[in-house]
Amino acid sequence: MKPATRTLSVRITAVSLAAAGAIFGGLAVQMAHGHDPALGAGTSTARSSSTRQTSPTDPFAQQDQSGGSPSGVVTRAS
Amino acid sequence: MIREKQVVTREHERAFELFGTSVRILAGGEPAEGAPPAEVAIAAAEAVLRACQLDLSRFDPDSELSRLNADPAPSRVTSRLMSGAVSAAVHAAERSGGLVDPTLISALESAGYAESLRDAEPAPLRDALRAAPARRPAAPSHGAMWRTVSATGREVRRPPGVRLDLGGSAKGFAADRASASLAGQGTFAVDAGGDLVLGGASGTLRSVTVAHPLDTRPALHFQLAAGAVATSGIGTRIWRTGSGFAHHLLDPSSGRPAWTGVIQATAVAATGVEAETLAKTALLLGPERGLRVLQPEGGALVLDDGRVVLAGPLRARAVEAA
Repeated sequence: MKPATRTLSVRITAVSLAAAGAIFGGLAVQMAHGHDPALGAGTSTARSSSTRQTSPTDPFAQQDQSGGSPSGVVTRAS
Repeated sequence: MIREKQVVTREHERAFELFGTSVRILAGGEPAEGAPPAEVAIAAAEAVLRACQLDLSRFDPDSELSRLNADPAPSRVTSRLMSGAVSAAVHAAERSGGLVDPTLISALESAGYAESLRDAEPAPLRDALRAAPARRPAAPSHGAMWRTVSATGREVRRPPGVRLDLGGSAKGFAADRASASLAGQGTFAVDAGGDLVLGGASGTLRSVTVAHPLDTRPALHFQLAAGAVATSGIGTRIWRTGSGFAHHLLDPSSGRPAWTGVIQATAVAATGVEAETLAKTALLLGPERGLRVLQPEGGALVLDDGRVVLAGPLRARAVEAA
């Protein structure tokens, strides 16, 4: 098999696996949280009302310890 | 290892190993009208990142980059992903005045970085700093071979024998590409081994922690709603040589590892490529000029002695931790 064909095959496989994993994984997580997607929208995806927002001109803000913020991220050299 | 969970903030998260490092994708909140569910958007973003890994790695002999580097012809029709990545690398070289140079692959190999260091234990940074030569700012190479590289449409041109290493911009490029799949989500984050692209329709703030290379405590925290953050440093890809230590950030003027007095630089910018370029440029320029590079959009330097120095908007906004 040519390298280009092999790369394409590997890429298609990776995309398929990623999509299948995310979709079925997501369904499994929702079911595990008591929400059956077949029954329509439930309360498990409600967004916290305690998250903060900024103006478009000031994307920075002081550290906020409120519990509703999205998950924190870490930047490091890699 | 791949894990997936739904975090308490109603975000979906997917984490896996890629680019020789850890990658996370987060998305949630209220999606814009017509946007796909978070799980589907995350899967699309993951596919983009995996395509970047397959195409842009110089360590995989079957990657498109390796085939491009092995091609003796002066031009080659490539995938759009490859030509976009080459354009990003040339942009990084221009933006940095030639400091972030994608044509230093031979010097990298000579320094000992011929294979992925994914599974290698880094050499102790403190020992390396004690053994390092006198500090000085890096400078562009005299030949500036990167000026001979171009990408137009799907065609990549470079003189025969000029090989490309896209490591200086590829993670930022990949994070930018992946974030396009998440644009309709209420909140999202792409963490490509510490190169972050954040955003979302809700404008919600997210906590960003900057790790410290010499301390288990973080260097600082701040919050950001949208944009990119990248960190470049010498403490992770560092190894022993016969005469001392070497790392992967080269001074283009000498082709040897740069010891500038800065061991880590973090930059905030509008895009991942821009943030990665600014971070590397700041590190290579050393403390004084590096701070000036970071001034407009914000950033932080960690100096040889572990001190954290803030630049621009982060001076007023960050919480120093270390």
